[in-house]
Amino acid sequence: MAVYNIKSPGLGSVGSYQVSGKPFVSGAINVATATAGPLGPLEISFPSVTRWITITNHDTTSDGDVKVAFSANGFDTNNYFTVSQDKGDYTNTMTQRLELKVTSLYLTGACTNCDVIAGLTGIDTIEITNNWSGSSGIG
Amino acid sequence: MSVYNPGPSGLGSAGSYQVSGKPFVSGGIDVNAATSAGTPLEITFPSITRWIVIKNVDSTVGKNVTIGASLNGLAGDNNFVVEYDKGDYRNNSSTPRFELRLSKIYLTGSSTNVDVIAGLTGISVNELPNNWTGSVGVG
Repeated sequence: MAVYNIKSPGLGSVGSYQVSGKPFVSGAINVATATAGPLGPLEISFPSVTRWITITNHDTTSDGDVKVAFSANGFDTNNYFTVSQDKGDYTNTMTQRLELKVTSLYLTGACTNCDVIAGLTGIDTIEITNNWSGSSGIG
Repeated sequence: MSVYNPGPSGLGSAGSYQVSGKPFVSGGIDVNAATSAGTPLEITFPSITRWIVIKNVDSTVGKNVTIGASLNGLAGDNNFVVEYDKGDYRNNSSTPRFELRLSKIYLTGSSTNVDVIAGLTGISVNELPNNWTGSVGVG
């Protein structure tokens, strides 16, 4: 007798990216404190694979930039991007909706007030080994 | 007996563009240094892109970066400029999320701090051997 054995969606499950995401929000992150001294980059782990992510920098101080990478190594290998401090006008303090499938991201910098917003799929994080670490463009 | 033997995804594989991308980030790029050496800077992606974003983080007046999809395009008119970070609402220092399938891009200009962010498909760059070079609009 045939048995219908439904499985969890995999990383290439198109439908999982076509539906809107389950929300994930981590707000008012003090990156400066969390990464001070020997602490190293701050890791934000997602409970499932993301469909998209957005990072906002609310810090208004002149050196309050935050750098974002997808592995801790990425900061040493120039595989990161910068979200500038809030200059009080419509500048680059919020990323676009970056449609990326990741299980975590890493933050470093002097920003004292950052938000991470993500739309999550239902895909288990074990589908991405080490969050792409070691890949070209990740570090 | 017939054997189902799925090959790798091709350039027209719709599902590859419907799922979110694998991240690729190259940050803090000193385009000025490369340009001063006499050669445009080539950014090569490990697989075909689903989308790309280019940010000019340099806030020094006039430190722009010019982008093309081929060397010919940079030398001719098939290129566009991402201006320096002016810190105001007219800011053109970040592109929108361009949904383009590319295997590489070329940068030139005087900016000392450029970020390239991309979402990658799983499609091999062999599917696009010349990165559209010679096509109308690419150069």
